[in-house]
Amino acid sequence: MEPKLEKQFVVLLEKNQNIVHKICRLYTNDADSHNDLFQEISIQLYKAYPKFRGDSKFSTWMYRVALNTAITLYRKSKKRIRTQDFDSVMFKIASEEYDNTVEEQLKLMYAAVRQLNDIDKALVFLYLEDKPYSEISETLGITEVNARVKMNRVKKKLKELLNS
Amino acid sequence: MDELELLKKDWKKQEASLPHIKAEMLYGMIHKRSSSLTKWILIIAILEFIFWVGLNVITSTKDSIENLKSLHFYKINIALTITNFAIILFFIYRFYKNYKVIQTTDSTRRLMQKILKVRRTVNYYVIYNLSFLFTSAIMVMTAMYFYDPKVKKLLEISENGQGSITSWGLVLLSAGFIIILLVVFWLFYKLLYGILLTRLRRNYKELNKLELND
Repeated sequence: MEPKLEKQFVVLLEKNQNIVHKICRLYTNDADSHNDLFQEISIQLYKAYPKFRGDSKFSTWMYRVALNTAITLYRKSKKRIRTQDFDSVMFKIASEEYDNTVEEQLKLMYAAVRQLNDIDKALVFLYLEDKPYSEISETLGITEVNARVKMNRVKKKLKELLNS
Repeated sequence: MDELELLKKDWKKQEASLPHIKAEMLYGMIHKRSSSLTKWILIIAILEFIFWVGLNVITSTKDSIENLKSLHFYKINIALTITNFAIILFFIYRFYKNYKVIQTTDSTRRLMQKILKVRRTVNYYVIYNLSFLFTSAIMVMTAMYFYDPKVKKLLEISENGQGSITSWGLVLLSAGFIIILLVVFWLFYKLLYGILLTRLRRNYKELNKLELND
């Protein structure tokens, strides 16, 4: 890649890196794997960047490449989820903002989301990011109707996980 | 679902606690080597090809050539080798093309389809290699049956009723050997690509299930 294009890419990546970090938080369970996946996604973005024509926003394109890497290209298998990871590393919530019940509820929710399979996780992630169903369906390669149906099922699944 | 809405609100707040990687670090990161799934599939396929070619070169000694000549198999062997390498080269071209086609910008489903297509090509490659192994083993054994002096002697002894093995026994023994060889190779392939592709296959099924249900 030309140095100019490379610089442009790095600037964009630095600015939009939160997207990648959020995906890494959902798809990995510890700091090491987080960094690993972050690196793999960055490499895939870098490799795909010359083909990015600016038809869509950089961030939209980034969602797609990053999620695809997490779902289809990331080689390492996941370690088993340990509950203490949630307390120690992930999703630290400033306690003064919430009362205990809300905090507890959120913790359980995050734990439940992380138990979902790769595809369901992607759906929840895009939903939490407030993406319209048209974009969710396009990213995953399913119809919009299917994306809605699937999201409803995921909500049910999450409820079951929370109640169990 | 109330909980999910609660999570949505919190989701936006967590941005403040996300790590931030500086541009200099990102420069270093993007130049590291990828360890993506497709890359590993390609690497393994290439290593496998080197293994087959290597095996062919190692076994082509002077003695083995003489041996083949005595079995009236030398010319057939040359023809087989040339055909084999031509077909393998075709497969390598396919591997390369498939690999090139994979771009992370496609939708998840399309990307998975492409990766699974790479896997299919690898599968055909495995089937071809196993069939080739089977055919050449049968041909060599047939040639040995008719022309190998040692086998001939063994057969003569057994026909006189003095040997410990009959000619049918010999055929069965050879068939057993070929079957074991094929099973071992098949298991090896299954292990090699199976591990890499388990998760991917699971995800693909998940997406497919969705389309079929609705």
